[in-house]
Amino acid sequence: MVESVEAWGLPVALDLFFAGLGAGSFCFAVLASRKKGDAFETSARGAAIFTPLSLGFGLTMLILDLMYKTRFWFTLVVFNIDSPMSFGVWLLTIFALISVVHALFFVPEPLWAKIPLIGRWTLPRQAAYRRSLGLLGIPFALAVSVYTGVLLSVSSLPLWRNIALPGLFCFSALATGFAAAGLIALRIARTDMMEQPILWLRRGYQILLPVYLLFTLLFALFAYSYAPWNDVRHLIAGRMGVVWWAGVLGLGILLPLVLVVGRGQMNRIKISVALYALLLGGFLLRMVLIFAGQASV
Amino acid sequence: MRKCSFCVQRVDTGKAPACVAKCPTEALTYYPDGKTPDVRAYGKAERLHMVYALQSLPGDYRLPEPVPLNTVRAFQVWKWLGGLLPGALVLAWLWRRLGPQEGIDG
Repeated sequence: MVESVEAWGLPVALDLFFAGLGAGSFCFAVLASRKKGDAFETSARGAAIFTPLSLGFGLTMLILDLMYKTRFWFTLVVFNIDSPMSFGVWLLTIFALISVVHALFFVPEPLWAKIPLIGRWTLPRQAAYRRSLGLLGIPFALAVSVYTGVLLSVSSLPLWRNIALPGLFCFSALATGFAAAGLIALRIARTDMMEQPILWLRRGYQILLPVYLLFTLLFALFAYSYAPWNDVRHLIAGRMGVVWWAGVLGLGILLPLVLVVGRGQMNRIKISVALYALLLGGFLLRMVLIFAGQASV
Repeated sequence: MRKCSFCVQRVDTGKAPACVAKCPTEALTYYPDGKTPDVRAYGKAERLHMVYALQSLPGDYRLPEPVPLNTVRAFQVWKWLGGLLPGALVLAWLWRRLGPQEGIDG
C-alpha cells in the first residue's frame, strides 16, 4: 500500500483558518466602532482584542509546522516578492503588529489611564487613534485574508491551482471573522442591548453570504473544468466529498444563509446557530482543501 | 574506509569507471573527453532547487513543460488580483451598508 505523503497538514489548515479569522474580526471591529452606542462599542472591543489573539495562534501554528522551529526568524531577514510564503509572513507580521496596537487602544479607559506617561497623554484622542489604526489595518486585513488563498493557489497541485481560491478564502475569512466577533459580542454585551447589533450583523451577511456562496460555486466550477478528474474526485466524492457537500456547503454556507438572510424574525438562538455553523464550515473548508488537494500526489 | 579513486586504473586503459559499467539501470553515463552531448538543464529557471540534465523533452521524463519565470510572476499577480479586487469591492459595499448613518430596519 502506498502511503500518501502530506507536506501540509493540520497546522497549516489551522494557520489559514485563524489568520483569516483575525482578518475578518479586525474588519468587524473597524466597522462596528463607526456605529454609536454601548453595544456596538462592546462588540468592537471584543473583536479588536480577539484579533491579535487569533493571529498569534495562527502564527504559532505556522512555527509548529516547521521542521526546525527555532529557525522561524530566518523568514524575517529575507524578503522575496516571488514567494507568497515570504510575502505572506511579512503581511501577517505587519498586520499582527498593527492589530496589537489597535487592540491596546480598546483597553477600557480607566485601565488605560493608569499606564504611565502614554496613558494620560493619549486618552483624549483614543477614538482618533483607533480610527486611524483601523483604516491603516484594513488593507492589511484584506491582503492577509487573500494571501491564505494565494499561498495554495500558486502551487502546482491541480485542485489548488484555482483562480477563485483567493477570493473564496477572502470571503470565508470575512464571514468567519464576523461570526467569531459576533459570538464574542453576544457573550460579553448585555442581552437586552444586542438587538441592534444583531440586525446590523445580518445586514452585513446579506451581502457577504451570497458572495461567499458564489465564490464557492466558482471554485467548484473552475476545479471541475480545469483539474483532472482524479484530483476533483477527492473533493466531491468519498469521505472528503461528504465533508465538502454537507460540512462546507450545507452547514457552512446554506444553513447560515437560510437562517440569517431570509426576511423572518431574528433572534439570539437563530443567529448563534448560524454563527457557529459558519465557523465550523470555514474550518472544514480549509481542512478539506488542504487534504483533498494533496490526496492524489 | 576507501575513498573513490574515480577508477583511475580503468580510465587510464580507456574503460569507463566501474560504477558506470556495472550499474544495472544505466543511471550513470561516462563521457571520456568531458564533453557532454546536447542536454537541457531543467529546473534552474523553474527554481526547483534541483537541476535535471535532460537528453530529450521534459515530457519524456514525465516532468511538466517548463514555465518561463515571468509567466509565473504574471500568473501570481492574477491570483492576488483575483482575491483583492472582489474583496475590496465587498468591503467597500459593507463600509457603506454598515455605516454610522445607515438605519437598521431588519
